[in-house]
Amino acid sequence: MSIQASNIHVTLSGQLILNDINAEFPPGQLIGLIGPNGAGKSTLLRVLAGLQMIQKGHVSINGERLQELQRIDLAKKMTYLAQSTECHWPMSVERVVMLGRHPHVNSQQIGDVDMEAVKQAIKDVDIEHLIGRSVNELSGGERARVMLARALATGSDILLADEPIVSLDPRHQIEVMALLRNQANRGKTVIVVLHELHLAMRYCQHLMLLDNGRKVAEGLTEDVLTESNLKRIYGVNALFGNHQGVPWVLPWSNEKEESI
Amino acid sequence: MPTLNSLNNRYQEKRLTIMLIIALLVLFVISLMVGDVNLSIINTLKNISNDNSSLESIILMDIRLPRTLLAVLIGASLGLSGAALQGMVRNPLAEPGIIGVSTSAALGAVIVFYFGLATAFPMALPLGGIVGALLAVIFLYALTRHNNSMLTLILAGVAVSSLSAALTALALNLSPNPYAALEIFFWLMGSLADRSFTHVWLILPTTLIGWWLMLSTRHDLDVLSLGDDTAQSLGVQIQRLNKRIILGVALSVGAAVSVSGGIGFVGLVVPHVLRPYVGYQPGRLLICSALGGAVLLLAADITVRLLATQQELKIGVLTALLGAPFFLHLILKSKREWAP
Amino acid sequence: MNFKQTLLLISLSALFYSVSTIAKSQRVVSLNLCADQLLMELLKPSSLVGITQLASDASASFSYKKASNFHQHNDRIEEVMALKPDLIVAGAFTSTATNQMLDQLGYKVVKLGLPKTVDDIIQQIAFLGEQVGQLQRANKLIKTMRDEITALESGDQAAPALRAVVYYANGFSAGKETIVNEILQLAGLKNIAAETGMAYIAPLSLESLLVSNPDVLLLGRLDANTDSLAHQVLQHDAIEKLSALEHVQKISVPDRYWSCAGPSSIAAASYIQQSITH
Repeated sequence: MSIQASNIHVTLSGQLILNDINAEFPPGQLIGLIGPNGAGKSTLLRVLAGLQMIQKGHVSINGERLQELQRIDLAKKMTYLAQSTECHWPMSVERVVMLGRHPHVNSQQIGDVDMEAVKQAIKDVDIEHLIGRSVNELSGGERARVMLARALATGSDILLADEPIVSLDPRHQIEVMALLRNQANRGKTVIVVLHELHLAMRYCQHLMLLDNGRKVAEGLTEDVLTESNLKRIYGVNALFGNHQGVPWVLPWSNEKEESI
Repeated sequence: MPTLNSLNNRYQEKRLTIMLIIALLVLFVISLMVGDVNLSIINTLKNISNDNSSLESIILMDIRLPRTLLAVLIGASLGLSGAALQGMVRNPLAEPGIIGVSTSAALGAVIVFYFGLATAFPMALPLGGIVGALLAVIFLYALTRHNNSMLTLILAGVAVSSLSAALTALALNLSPNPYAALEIFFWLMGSLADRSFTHVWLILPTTLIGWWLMLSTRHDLDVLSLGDDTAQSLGVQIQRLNKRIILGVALSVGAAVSVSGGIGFVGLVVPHVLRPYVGYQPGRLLICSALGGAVLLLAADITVRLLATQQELKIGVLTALLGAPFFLHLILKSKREWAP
Repeated sequence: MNFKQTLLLISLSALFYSVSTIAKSQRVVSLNLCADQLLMELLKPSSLVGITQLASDASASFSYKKASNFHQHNDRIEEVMALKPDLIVAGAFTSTATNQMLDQLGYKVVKLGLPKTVDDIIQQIAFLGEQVGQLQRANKLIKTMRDEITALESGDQAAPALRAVVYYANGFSAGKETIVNEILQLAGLKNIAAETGMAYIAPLSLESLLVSNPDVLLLGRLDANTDSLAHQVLQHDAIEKLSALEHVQKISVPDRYWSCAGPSSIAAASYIQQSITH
């Protein structure tokens, strides 16, 4: 399923947060939404998820406008993974993951399909050893993975994730990015907001660069993560390289080239 | 290693429900047997089935039975409302008594009752309670929408309770009936004494509607634990959920208070005790809390009748003696567990 | 007799006459409903210069019709003082602050207690008669009461005593040592509350009321206004069903008959006796 944003304008507390954003996100791709702090990335993600009020423009999935879809049907097609991993009640890990099945289960009994989806999600995210533990006892990183499992358990075709790896250790950062890329390879549309440019370079196929509410660059990863874009938009000098044919990038210093 | 089977197998929850139902039935029978006068229930029931109207049958059917039914209905409403409110504001301290809903309901009921409106139109009495309750819940909801910290909740509750209690006292003093001013204790503490079937019929319709509204949100409530955004993205219509709970609480608690006065703490103690047995899921807590509330109130009412005081102790005193220390314990514990 | 003795006799008589005249022209103010009712029997409007507002309230005062002949005050001290009373009659429970104030201002205040028996009532009437210098009228009143009682007692012989219970707002009943008990006895009834050992006014639970199997049910009611929980209990289904049972008679005695213990109590007993069908 593809998701499309047209002429999006969003104003919050008098500030123009998103200014005329147009984008199309095709299926089977892992797309990174990048940009400096305050660029409007999270807001755009929420707009796509149908959680943010838009002053102008609309979002469609496969041509169908979001407003025309029932919340429950939308939930089956698209999953949103928030940045905050809060859970207000000390539920067990597996119960939290099962909540991801809500669009399918709703008022019925939990079925075999649901159990399977939950099992698979838990396995994919590597949290089997956490089953039975209370989710609020876990570390930030562990909890983030539980929430990711919850998102995967829904099994929808579009996954929107807001900084899903920010609290994870390096190994799990890599594993989660690989997992998301894998989901994209299976045909899903996966859109991720992230700051970890080196991982964006490594795993994302497409990138969209935002700055001050505007889209400033869009396209293949290598075409967006250029030295000039990084300097101009992020204000960083980066090192570029190539390992076994795979390009990498490493933000190195800021504009002023301050030495340590 | 624990398995996933606990998810599908709701054994613990089912067992809890069955135990609560059994406890309820047992207490129901005990309640019919407790009273000032020694009755042989069996003989009385025989009389009733033979259509023999005797003094004993009047005592059983017109004094003890309505009282028992009210304890069940009102206890269930209080337990259910407590659980629903806690799920909605995501705070374990929300409870109709603490947040001032009961006192506001009492104010509404008092205004209707003592100024003749209930004599003209009996349904006005529960309606008065409902309107009072509605105003308090709406206020609470508006206040905690963006900030569900414990402190805000308690302070809001104190403010609403104090104001309503003061206005209730004022209304009672202004009433033309000389007995009115003396009855404030009933409205603030609650009692099931000398209630009749009229009261049962008065509150039954709105109570059932209120229950239905609250129970209809039980699946969505679980998902709400993950936060508004995530819940919405999973298909929950948050506005609809909030409206149903607000209205449901107002309808059931408002009606209950209008015939029994304000009985507090049931909606605090019961959900808290039962929460671990339903995996802390707020939606699954609803039905158990209703049953638990009925059991608790019925037990309290039986106790109040067995205590040898000259004038029957107000049941709200008993629930407060149990609930207030519990409340304190919760606050102290929560500071360590669930951060504000 | 010589001239000196005659002069002494005349002056003494004159003194006596003037003293009794002074006593007769005493200005009396009543601060209490029950005192109102007694004093209205004993004094003329020129002597009884102030009675309470309740005296004309048909739901509270037995002599409400008479009250229109007298001036009614509003219980305020300034008003009472303006009436220039020589004697003030108050109830034992009239606000102590008022009593203290009146004492301090130097007025003569007589306090009436709560009679519990017919003898108490008679004593009170005699006492009051003496205080206001109307002993003769007091004695006449007492004799009328005694005659009524005799008539009542002969009426009682006719039938076996029925069992009765009085039920007030808030589920209270009157047991031994109350004027209500006395009234019931005069009317030829057995007071169930006294039977169970209740003393004074105390709560009687609905269940106990029912199980006592009364023949006669006397329900207290504030005629005008029953909007209170206290009165709701009197309308309870159980009581309705009880009074629907064949052998139970429900008698509603207007409050004015027994708001005070006095001649109205005897009238209450007659009222009850006449209302009972055997």
